[in-house]
Amino acid sequence: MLVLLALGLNLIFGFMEIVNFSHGAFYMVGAYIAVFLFSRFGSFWWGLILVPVAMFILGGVVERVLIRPLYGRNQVDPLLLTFGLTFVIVELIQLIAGKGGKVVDPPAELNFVVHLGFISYPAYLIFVAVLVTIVVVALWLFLERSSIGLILRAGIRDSQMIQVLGIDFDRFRILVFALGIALAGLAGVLVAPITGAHPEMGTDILILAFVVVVVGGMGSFWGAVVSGILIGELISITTLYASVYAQIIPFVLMIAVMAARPRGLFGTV
Amino acid sequence: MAIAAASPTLPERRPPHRRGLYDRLTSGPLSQLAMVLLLTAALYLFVPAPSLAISIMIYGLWAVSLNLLIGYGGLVSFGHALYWGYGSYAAGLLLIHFGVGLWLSLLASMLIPGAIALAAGFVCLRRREVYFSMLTLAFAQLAYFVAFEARWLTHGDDGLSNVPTPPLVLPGLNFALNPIRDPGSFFFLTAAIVIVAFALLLLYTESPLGRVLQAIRESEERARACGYNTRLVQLITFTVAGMFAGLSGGLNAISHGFVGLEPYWELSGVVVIMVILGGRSTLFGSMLGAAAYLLLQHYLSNAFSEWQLILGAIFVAIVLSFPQGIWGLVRLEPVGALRGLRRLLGRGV
Repeated sequence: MLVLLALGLNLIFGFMEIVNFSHGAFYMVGAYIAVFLFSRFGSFWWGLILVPVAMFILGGVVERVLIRPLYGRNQVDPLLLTFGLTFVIVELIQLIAGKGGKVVDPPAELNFVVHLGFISYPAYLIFVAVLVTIVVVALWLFLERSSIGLILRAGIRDSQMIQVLGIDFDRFRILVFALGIALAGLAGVLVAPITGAHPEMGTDILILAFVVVVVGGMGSFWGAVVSGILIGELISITTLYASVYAQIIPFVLMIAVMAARPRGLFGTV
Repeated sequence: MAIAAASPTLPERRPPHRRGLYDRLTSGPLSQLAMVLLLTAALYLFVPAPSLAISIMIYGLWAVSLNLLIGYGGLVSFGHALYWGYGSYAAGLLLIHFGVGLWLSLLASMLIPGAIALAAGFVCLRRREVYFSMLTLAFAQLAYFVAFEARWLTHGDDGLSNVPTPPLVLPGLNFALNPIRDPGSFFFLTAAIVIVAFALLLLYTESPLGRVLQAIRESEERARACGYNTRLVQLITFTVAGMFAGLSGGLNAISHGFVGLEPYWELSGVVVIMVILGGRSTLFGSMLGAAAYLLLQHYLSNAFSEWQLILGAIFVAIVLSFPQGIWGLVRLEPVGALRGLRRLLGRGV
C-alpha cells in the first residue's frame, strides 16, 4: 500500500516537481468510492475497476483547473494549494458520508486463508501483493519502454526543449497527475477491506508516504518501491517487538538518511 | 531537477510608481509597528470575547515568527508547531513543578525551543524548498510522538492541566494575574509582550542579518558569491523563529492554564494557513492573517460544523489568485481592494 502511494506521489513529484499534499485525501476518496460501490453492487470488484478510472478523471480535472495556473511560479505554491485542497476534500467527504468509519468486506472469492507452510496469510493480502507487483512492473514498463514514457522522461530533463519540438507537454502533465491520483485511488480501494474507510485515513498515511519518498529519493522509481517495502517492514517489526517506537522509527530513519545522504537512498538529484 | 531554480518566493509585483508614500505607510517598519498597535486597540475595543482577543495576539506572534522563515527567508517550514508545543511544555512544566515566575518560565519557553530549532535546523537546512518542508515536518512528527509517549512527563494527549498562573512581578509591582476572572489586564500583558517581540522581529528583518536573509531568498547563489555564509544566516533565523514560536507557545500555556497535545503537523498547517492568509511580504500581514483565521473560526464554526471547507476554499483561492494574501491585497492593489470591499458591503446591505 505504502509502495503504491509513494509511487503515485513520486510520479507527480518526479515528472512535475509538485509535492502533492492532497495525495492522502485522494486515497481516502478512493476508499470511499469503493465503499459506495460496494453498498450499491454488493461486490468489491466493481470498485477495483471503476475507482482508478474515476480518480484518473478527477485527477485530470484538478490538474487542469487548479494546478496548471501555478506552473512557472515556485515549488511551494502547489504544495500550499494541495494542502488547502485537502481540507476541502476531507470536509466534503465528512459532509456527504459522515464522520464515522465505513467497512467493506473483502471479496468472497478471496475469503479464505492460505497456508504457506510456516505461516498463514489471508488470501486477500496475497492478492493485494500480487496486484501491486503487477501494477509496479506495468508502470515501470510504461515509463521506460513506451513512447509516452520517453517523452515524459525527456520532459523532466528540459520541458522547454520538448515544447520546441512541437509536443504539447501540458497534455502529458495532466496525464501524469491523473495517473498519480489513480494510483492513490487504487491504494484506497485495496485498503478499504483491510482497515475500512474513515475521513482521517489519508492524513496519517500521507506523512508516511512522504517519508518513503524522501528516504527513497525524490523522483526515483525503484527508490520509492524499495523504501516503501523497507519502511513498511520496519514498522511491522517494531510494532511487534517495541510498539512504543513504531511511530517514531520512520522519522528517525528519514532524518538519519537525510543527514548521511541528503539525496535519498536511490536519488540522483 | 535544478536546485539553482530556487526562484524568488515572492516576486514583488510592485510597479515603480507605487513605491511612494502609500507603500512606505503600509510596509515600513515603524508603520508596521503602528499597525500592530492599531490592531491591538481594535481587538480590545471590538472583539467581544477577551479570550479570543488574547488568542489572536498569541497566535499572531506565532504566525509572525513563521513568516520570518516563509516570507523573509523563503523557507516554508511545515513543522513550526514543534517549537510552539515545546515552548508551552517548557513554561507549563516549570510553572507546575518548580513554581518559577512569569519571566523565567517565558525565558525557558524561548530557550528550549531555540536549542531544538538550532539542532533541527542544522539538519533541515541541508536541503531547500520542498525537501526542507518535508524535513521540518518529519521533525515535528517525531517530536509529537516523543511528547505523546513520554506520558510520565507530558501526560500524553490528556495534556498538562492546572498550570498555575504566575503573578506579574516588575520592580515595585506584584500583580496577581487571572486570565479568566480578569482577562482585561491579562490581555494588556500579552499585548505588551507580543508587541515587544514583534518590534524585535522587525528589528531583525531590518538588520544587516535580515537583509542578507532576504538576499538569500532572492538568490542563494548570488548571496554566497558575495561572501555570505548563507547556511549560517538561515540557521540563525531558524533558531530565532523557533524561539519566538516557543514564546508564543509559553504565553498560550499560561493563558489557558493547560498544555494540550494535537498532532503537530495539523497545528503546523494551521499556522502556515495564517501566514498565507495574511500575506507573506510583511510581518504585520501574518498578525492580520492570525486574526482573520481565528475570527473566521470563531464565527463560522458556530454556524457551520464543516467550517474548514470554507476555510480550505478561501485558502485555495488565495494561493491560486492572490499569493500576497489579505495585507498584500491592501498594500499592492489598494484601489481594487477598496472597490471589492465596497461591492461586498453593497451586497451585504
